[in-house]
Amino acid sequence: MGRFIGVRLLHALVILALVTVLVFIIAQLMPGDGVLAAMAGSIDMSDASAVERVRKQYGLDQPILVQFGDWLARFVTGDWGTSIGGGEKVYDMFMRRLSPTLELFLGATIWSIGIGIPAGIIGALKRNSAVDVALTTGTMIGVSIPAFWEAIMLIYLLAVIFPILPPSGYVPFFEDPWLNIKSMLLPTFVLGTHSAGLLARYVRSSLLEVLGQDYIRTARAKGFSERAVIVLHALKPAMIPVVTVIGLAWAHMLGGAFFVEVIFAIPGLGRMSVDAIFQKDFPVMQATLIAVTLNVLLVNLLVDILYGYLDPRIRVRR
Amino acid sequence: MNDAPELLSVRNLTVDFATAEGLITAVDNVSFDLREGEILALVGESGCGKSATALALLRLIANPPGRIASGSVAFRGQDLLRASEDEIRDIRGNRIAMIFQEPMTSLNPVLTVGRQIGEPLMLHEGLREEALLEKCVKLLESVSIPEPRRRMGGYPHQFSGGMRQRVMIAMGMGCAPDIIIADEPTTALDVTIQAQLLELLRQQVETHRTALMLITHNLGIVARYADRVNVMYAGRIVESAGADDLYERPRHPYTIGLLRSVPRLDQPTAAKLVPIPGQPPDALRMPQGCAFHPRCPFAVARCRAEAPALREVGAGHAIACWVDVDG
Ligand SMILES: Nc1ncnc2c1ncn2[C@@H]1O[C@H](COP(=O)(O)OP(=O)(O)OP(=O)(O)O)[C@@H](O)[C@H]1O
Ligand SMILES: [Mg+2]
Repeated sequence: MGRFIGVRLLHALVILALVTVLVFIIAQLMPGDGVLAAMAGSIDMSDASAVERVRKQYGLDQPILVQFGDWLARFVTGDWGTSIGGGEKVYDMFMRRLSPTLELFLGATIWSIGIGIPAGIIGALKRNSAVDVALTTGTMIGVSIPAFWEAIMLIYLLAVIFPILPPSGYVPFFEDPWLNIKSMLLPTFVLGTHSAGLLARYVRSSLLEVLGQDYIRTARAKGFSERAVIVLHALKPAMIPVVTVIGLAWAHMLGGAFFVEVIFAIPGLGRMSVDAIFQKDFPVMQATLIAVTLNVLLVNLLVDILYGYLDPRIRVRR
Repeated sequence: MNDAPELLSVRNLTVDFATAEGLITAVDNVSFDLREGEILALVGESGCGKSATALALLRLIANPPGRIASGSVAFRGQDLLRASEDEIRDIRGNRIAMIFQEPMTSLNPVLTVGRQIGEPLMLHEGLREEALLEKCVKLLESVSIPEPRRRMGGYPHQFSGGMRQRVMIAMGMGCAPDIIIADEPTTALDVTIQAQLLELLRQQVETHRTALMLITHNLGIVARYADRVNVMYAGRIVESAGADDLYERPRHPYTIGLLRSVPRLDQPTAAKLVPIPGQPPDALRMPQGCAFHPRCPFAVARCRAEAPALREVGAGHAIACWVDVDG
């Protein structure tokens, strides 16, 4: 198992290194000089010495390898440059926006696991019953409903018609835990809806497949009750493919997070990265790209570890 | 041994499967008895309904698509087909154990072998911790798994096919059941391991007066181990006899054909092997009358019209055939 994790970790590091290089190169290949483009309004572009000064200030006159080395060294030590838009340190900006987004991701994942897994299990156990049909319908809706529309409907229902929850806004947890939770209920639910539906589907079909296996018949032949068969013999193998789906859902959440953060006015990373793209704010873009990569790699690693725990066959393979 | 107390009495057992193409009667009106200390073989070609019969005894037929349409299975006087869920669960794995045909897929891949062997003991005998561990180690030893203590923590994929089948057998013997149903316990194993495992089962039968229902299509195994034989064809028992009797005087044309189609040690090597012509019938298009008549060299007009019931043709020897070919 330790060896298995070690190999995975090594993989992750190699990918991370590649992405760092790629991120740097992409910034180099961007049409126009990013810094200058962003500065176009504030300096006189015909003043060659002023342009030169700015290029020097951002190290753009150095050979590319040196630029990369410098950039990497600074990046690793937490100096991620300053945002071209606001002039703020990218690291500070990033860290400030990290916790709302993390909270959003966590909340959404809790929703999707809390709804998706039980719904899938019930659907499998009561397959083809009215309950199953209802759950499958709900699942379909959950998977296909557009996030922005769902958000607006929920705000209308739970903040306007029945004003139980705040319609938008964000309060850090440590300032006001209760208000924080209340204001995050809707956004996390909206962000988690899609993966809840996806999970329910996967859990249902995975459990159904496992229940048809020979070893489940063996468990029944031992005299276990149906409930014991499911809890002791079926759930663990049925969760193996589901873990991947949870990991994928988490890795793909940033896209959804953008909508949710805009609609609910949450100052998070999703919004920041989209703004950065529009503003050609490349220090911010680089930081988010690497953060996204890191996020995906970490989640994959976690999924692999869980996989190894759930499926002993994986532990020896490779 | 014929006067040993009767343990299991199966009457008119019928099992259906609803498939996309139509209803299959996999087991058709099957009746037989099983006595203490008896080894009863159930033989027949692939698909004739051997596994379905075995599964139906413990109500383990997957439903859907399967269904026990009718019949009764009396175990020590209690009808298992009408017992409550709790009652049948108390018997499964405890009084009647089943060893499945597929050793590669019948063990849970994500649970340790030790745990899976221990489960029936935990469930039915309430064994825990030390006592459970000791008993499991003993069981694994009895099926000659080397280093049983260490192997307990292993997973099925770390065991060879033969070892897995031994694990299955150990699992079945744990609660010292009254009946062991072994569904082709040794197919796909090499001959030495086969013999070893069957010896093991025979010992269990001899020392504990366990009844063994041995499902196989290996007639060599039948000749060597079984006391009685039920020959199945297309869902029905077509011949039932003592093992020696059956080999000496097979009386159903199907059995005769079956015995001619495999090499036998008790006959001159020159005896020619004759395969039975034709194919077993399609379960969806069962022929009218006796299901064997299209392949039967002795078929008469009545065979095409009417299915024969089992009838006594000698002491403890019954056949389902209109023509008694013997003599
Ligand atoms: N789950 C199922 N769904 C549909 N039909 C089935 C199912 N299980 C068994 N059958 C059918 O029932 C009949 C008997 O099957 P069974 O498994 O009892 O055969 P068998 O004698 O054990 O054969 P084998 O020697 O290959 O194990 C076959 O025609 C088979 O197609
Ligand atoms: Mg079978």
